[in-house]
Amino acid sequence: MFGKHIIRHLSAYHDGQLSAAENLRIEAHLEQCGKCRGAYEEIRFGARLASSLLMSNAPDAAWRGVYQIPNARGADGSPERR
Amino acid sequence: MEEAQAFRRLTVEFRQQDAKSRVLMTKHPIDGPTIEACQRGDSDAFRLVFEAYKDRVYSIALCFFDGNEATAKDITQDVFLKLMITISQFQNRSEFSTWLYRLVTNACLDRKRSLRRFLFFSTTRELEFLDPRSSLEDKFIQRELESSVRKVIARMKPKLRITILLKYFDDLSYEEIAKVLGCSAGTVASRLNRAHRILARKLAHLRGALASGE
Repeated sequence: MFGKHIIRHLSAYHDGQLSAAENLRIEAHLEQCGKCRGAYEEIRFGARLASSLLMSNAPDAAWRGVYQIPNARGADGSPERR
Repeated sequence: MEEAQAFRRLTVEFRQQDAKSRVLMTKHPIDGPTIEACQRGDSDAFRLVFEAYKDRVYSIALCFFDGNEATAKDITQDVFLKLMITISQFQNRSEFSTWLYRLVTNACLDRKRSLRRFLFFSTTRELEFLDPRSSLEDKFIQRELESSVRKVIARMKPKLRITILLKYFDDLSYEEIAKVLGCSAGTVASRLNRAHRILARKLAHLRGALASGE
C-alpha cells in the first residue's frame, strides 16, 4: 500500500484516522521520503491554520425567527408542516 | 526585535487557540428523550437542541459565506425550522448530529447555488471566545490570523469548504463527515488533504510566525 508516495493519506494520518499498523507504515515511509515529508509539513501547517477558526455566537434574532413556529401546532400537538 | 517578539507571541497564541478550539468543539450530544420530546412538539426540548447546536451551525454558515452575518443568520433559522418540521422523521438510524449537519450542508450548498453573484463586505464583529487576558495586540493578531484563514476557506470549492468546516467546527471524524456528505471516508480524506494544502500555500507567508517544534 505504501510503496509509492503516500501524500493522499497524510491528512488522515495527521488527524488520527488510521489504524496503528497504517500509522507505522506511514512513519516508516516519511523517514525515507523527502517529498512526502515536505507534503506532511504542508498539511500539518494547513491543519494548524484551520484550527484557528473561532466559534461565533449565533445572534438572538436567529431563535426569535424560529420560535414563532412551535406555536403553530396541528390538532395532535405536532408542529404544522410548512 | 519587535518582529521576533510578535512571532513568539503568535506562536503562544496559536497553541492557546489549539487548546481553546478543542474545548469549544466538545460535543454536546442530545439524548434520545430530548429528541422524543421534540417529536412530541415540546418547545422546551427544541430550545435545548437549538442551544446545543446554534453556534456550530451559525459558525459553519458564517465561514462558508465569508463572514456574511445576514446569510449565516438566515441559514441558521432555515436549518432549525426544517429540523423542527422534519424531526418526526428522525428514526435514530444515524446520529442526530449527522442528520442535523446534513441539513446544514444542504442549506449552505443550496444557498450557494442560488446566489449567482454576490459581494461580501466583511463586517466587524467581536470574536466571542478570545481570551480576556490577551493583550490588545494579541487579540489583533488572532483576529487577523482567523480572518485570513476564513478568507481562504471562503474561496475554496463548496465541497471542500463544507468538509473542512465540519471537521473544524465540530471535530467530526472522517466517517461522520462521510455520512453527512453522502460520500466515502476516502473522499473526505482527499478533500481535507486538498483543503489543508490550499491553506498552507495561500498563507505560506505566515509560516515563519509559527514555531515548528511539536
